[in-house]
Amino acid sequence: MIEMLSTPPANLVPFAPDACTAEFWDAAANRRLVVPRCVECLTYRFPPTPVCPRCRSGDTTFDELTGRGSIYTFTIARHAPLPALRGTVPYAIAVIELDDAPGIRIVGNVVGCAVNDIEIDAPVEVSWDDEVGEGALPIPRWRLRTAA
Amino acid sequence: MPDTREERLMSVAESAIVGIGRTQYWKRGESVGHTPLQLVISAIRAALDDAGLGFDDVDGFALYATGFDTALLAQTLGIPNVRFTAALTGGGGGSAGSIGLADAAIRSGQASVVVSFLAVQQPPEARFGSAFANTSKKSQYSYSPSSEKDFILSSALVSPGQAFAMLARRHMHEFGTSREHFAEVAISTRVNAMNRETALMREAMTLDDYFAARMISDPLCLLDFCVESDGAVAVVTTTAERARDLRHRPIPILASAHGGAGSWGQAIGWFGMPDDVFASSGYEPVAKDLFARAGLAASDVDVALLYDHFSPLVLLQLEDFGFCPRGQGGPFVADGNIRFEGGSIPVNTHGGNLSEAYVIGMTHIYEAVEQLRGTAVNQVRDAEVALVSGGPASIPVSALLLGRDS
Repeated sequence: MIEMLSTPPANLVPFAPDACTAEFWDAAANRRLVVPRCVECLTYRFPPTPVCPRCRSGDTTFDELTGRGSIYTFTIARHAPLPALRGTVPYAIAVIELDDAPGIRIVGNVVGCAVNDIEIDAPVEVSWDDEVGEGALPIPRWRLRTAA
Repeated sequence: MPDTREERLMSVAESAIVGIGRTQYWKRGESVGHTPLQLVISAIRAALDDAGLGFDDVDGFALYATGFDTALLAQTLGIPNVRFTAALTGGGGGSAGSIGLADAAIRSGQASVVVSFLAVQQPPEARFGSAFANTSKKSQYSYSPSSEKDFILSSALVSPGQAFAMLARRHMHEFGTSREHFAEVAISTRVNAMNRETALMREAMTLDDYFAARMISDPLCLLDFCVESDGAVAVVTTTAERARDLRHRPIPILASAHGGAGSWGQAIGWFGMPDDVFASSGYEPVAKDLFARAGLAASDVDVALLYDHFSPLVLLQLEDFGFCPRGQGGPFVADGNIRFEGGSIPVNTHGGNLSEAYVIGMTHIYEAVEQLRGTAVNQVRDAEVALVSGGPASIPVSALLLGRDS
């Protein structure tokens, strides 16, 4: 039997977006993946924070990415640490490296595939939930990408 | 710097641990008949008795995070004059560092008898295992939502075990580390717990048991996780001079260090650490400082009490502290090096967080003191130098080198 991965609920805990992260979530609501980049030294950073950790400039732009990346590492959650996750296991949490924003990583769920299909270095692309429920954020998820 | 190890051990310490105390250890939630304040006071009373000191002698508190109210404690205990009270910042790595903070208070002359302590009580609504998402006001580990955590919690990454599983997986990928290596940490630690009355997990563990355990967050199974327990531990530190007149042989603080690289930062709270240290414990810069301050090297350490919330992190610390090269933690333990019987560097002779009890690393300090007094249950022969780590986590991570007064 092929064991498929679940998608965790998007409103698990209260969220607290602020002025630094608003642009990311606003773009996500329009199914666009953007990440902050220093205008001075062009270094990407994540999560969005007030200044560049390399040159300390606060001058920031948000670059839109293709949404392609690869799995840097991952875990398969089989035990539900919270009661609200009991119907969700197994689910995959992965650290993703982004093809067009070197040096940063983003944490997300790999969805829509079998548990055994996940491996480090596997190519992925961003995928958005069909609907954003009450109290939830428009969370970028990740799907395995077959070589084109 | 003096030339011989003997001279180095004698020359550096200005403070010493003189008392250790603890409550019994309970399975999680089973101490709820006692308040956390009662647990803390029991441990402090025992530590002061052990030292031959009284509550009136205490003039400082040096803690690690968790935000314990020292005003309430001083008021409750009728402490005559509090001259120092501070807590190391951080999210998991600071128990050893709390003793470093006591050392700093004593070296600077701000206080002379400093108490460090931690109490853990985990009723169902306050389990550390779901700490990242714990917003319950009843939990001492409650976290308020933040814009940075949104990027972690939104993926249902809510448990420290899930986060460290991803570090472990990366280490397996880069270095060929296997679950058998994790098992050796779990099994060798269990062997050390089996003859200890204080240990919560004393049944023998075989490799078959390990592989039969249910998977929690792949690649970590149940037996890679520390026990969930309740209890309190307290440690009393004073000046090297005063220590000589007290009940036990003083245990000099040879060096302490805490901190880490900004690029390690929140570590499992952001996963943006540089590629060359990602699959590590984040301890490398702190280990360097620690050994430099003491004029010692990993080869001088006789017993290592390494914070073991998850078994793979013991491998990563063995590498970062220099007991073996980067990436070689797996083969190093497979060769029997961390065993109490016959190992080149016995690790967690008390059964650690994995098998004895989880008091956020304070039990490791307790064991280091017993080893150096020569009174440990699993006594390493002629132990003169003990390493204690406070736990791979966000910075600061912290560590301590303790010695033996001759």
